[in-house]
Amino acid sequence: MTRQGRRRRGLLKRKFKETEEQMKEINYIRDLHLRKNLKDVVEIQSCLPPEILVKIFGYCATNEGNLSLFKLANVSSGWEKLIKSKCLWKCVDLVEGVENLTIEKWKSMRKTFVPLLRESKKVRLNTSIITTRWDNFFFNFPSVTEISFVGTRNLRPEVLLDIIHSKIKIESLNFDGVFLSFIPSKIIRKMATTILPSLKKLVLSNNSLYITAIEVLFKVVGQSCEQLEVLELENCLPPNRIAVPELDYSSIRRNCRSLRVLNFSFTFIDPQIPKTVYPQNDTLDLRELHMGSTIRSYRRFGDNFLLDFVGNCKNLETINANYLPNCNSLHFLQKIKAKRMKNLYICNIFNGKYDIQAITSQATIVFGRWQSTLLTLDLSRNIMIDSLWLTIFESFCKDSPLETLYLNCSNITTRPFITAIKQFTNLSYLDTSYCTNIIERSLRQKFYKEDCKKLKVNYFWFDNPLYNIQRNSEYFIDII
Amino acid sequence: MPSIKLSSSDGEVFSVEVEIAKQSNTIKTMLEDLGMDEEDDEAVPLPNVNAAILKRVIQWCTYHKDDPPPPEDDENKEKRTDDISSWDADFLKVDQGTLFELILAANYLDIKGLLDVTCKTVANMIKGKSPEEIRKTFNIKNDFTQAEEDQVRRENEWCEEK
Repeated sequence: MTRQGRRRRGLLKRKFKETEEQMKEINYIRDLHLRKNLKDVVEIQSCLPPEILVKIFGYCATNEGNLSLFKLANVSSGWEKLIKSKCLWKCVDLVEGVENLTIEKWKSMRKTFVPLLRESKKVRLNTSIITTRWDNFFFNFPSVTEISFVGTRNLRPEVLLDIIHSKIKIESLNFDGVFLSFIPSKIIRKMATTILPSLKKLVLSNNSLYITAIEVLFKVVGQSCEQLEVLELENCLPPNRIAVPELDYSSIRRNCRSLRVLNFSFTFIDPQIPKTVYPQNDTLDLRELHMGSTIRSYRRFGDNFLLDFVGNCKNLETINANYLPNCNSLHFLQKIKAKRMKNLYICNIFNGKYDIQAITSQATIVFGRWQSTLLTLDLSRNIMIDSLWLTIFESFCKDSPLETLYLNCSNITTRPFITAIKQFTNLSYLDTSYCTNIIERSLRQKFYKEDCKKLKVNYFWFDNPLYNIQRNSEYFIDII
Repeated sequence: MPSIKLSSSDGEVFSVEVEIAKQSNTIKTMLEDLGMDEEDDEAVPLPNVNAAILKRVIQWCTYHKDDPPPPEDDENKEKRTDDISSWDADFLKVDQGTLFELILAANYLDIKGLLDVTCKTVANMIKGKSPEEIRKTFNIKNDFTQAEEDQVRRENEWCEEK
């Protein structure tokens, strides 16, 4: 053995000596316990250290809610102490189990319960707990910074006022699709002037807002929300909209230095092109932009708006530009400065009327640039000629990391489709449903393989020149 | 394929591929700190893990060697307990003593994936049971005095009725 080897051995020994001694003690206690019981059955609490038990209790609280932990407190005094561990009450899920909570019961447990909430940071709630049992509800959570109502329904918009009045230092609000009806503009205005400037995350997606309310939000976000990281206003307009809210995007671009995720898919907007040219030193550094079905007229805004707004975001990783009406171009993607695009959604932007030469060179540049980073590509509902489909797929390198590919409802034919599945060896999700130009019915499917992580596209057999793909009974993917 | 030797508490030595062993953060850190290389013949002593358990841990690590590294505990991500893969579920069909020893080994060796899945398994054993059933399952002594139990029950009774 070399000298170095000996030194290492010494180090190793020292490193393990400590744990060895600890272990001896633990083993001794365990043995003692076993002997005491005179049985070979292990007792969970003497066997597992408290931090592990707390971890297990944490899993018990998921799905069943934090209230279910009180049931575990009845098991033994040791467990009762453990369920009062602070870390189990950092994130509180009060969605499950509240249906059984009558006022009498609530009063009887209030003394044990409320002190546990004093340091809770995040809380998940639903409508029933808000409406029936608690007065001054949010006063019970003096340290809470995140409130989520996701999953509940029929919430009264006045809850927003309660949160404002409670003066808690809230940072994140998630109200995705929860409200009973329109959120009154008055409430939105109140929120915009009080808590909005200090928020880091605001989700109001899938609720109905008045156009004026959305404009107020945009205005305040552009002026005084330097901390805001996530703003989601997806699908917020009523169905029969005539007017569309105006968005002064230059103020957002100038001031929102923390904004990372911006989502206004399915909420039409009217981007206000700035009158003056502003300096190039942007502060906007988005990671995700979702603006599918957001702009009504591509001809009027199209490229300019997109490039103006997010063209300089170097770290943009996700862009959803679905349904850009009559776009027929990849020019905007070519000009965007993002280097490492991961998810690209460009569904229904080609309808067949395009300059084939221009678009071929654009496709080569765009997909060649992002070939080694793209993970998701949505080309569904596009009408393109075969050669363009081929150009797109052939712009990728052989070991492209692409995992998810949507081709549904497009006019793709068998030949480019086969190029795609040969090219993308890392695919795990592939949607070719309603691709009527693919003649083989068995291929017009969603292919999805969960367990084996990778769609084993190599196991298709391509032995027929007419691309009649045969089933290899052993390996053909289970079609779900 | 470079491999290292691991020695269990009862002295049995296992030869394991380094890549597989590195799923244990304890071993990984040790290899990095001490700069072990392939010529080293000596076995790494694991005084807290016996041969039977170590064998199982290695089996688990071998099956999961191509998994992407488990994500850090993200509080924003919703935790689930029903996402145990069928292989893991079969692997963990063992008696309680073994299951607990696996948890301890995973904790000591710092193998996050194994620790998560074993803890989830125990959580699933607890879920949906009444306190009395839980006591029976895990052989827990009810150490409340009658008065205490009445009080605790009164405080928490609302959650027992369904």
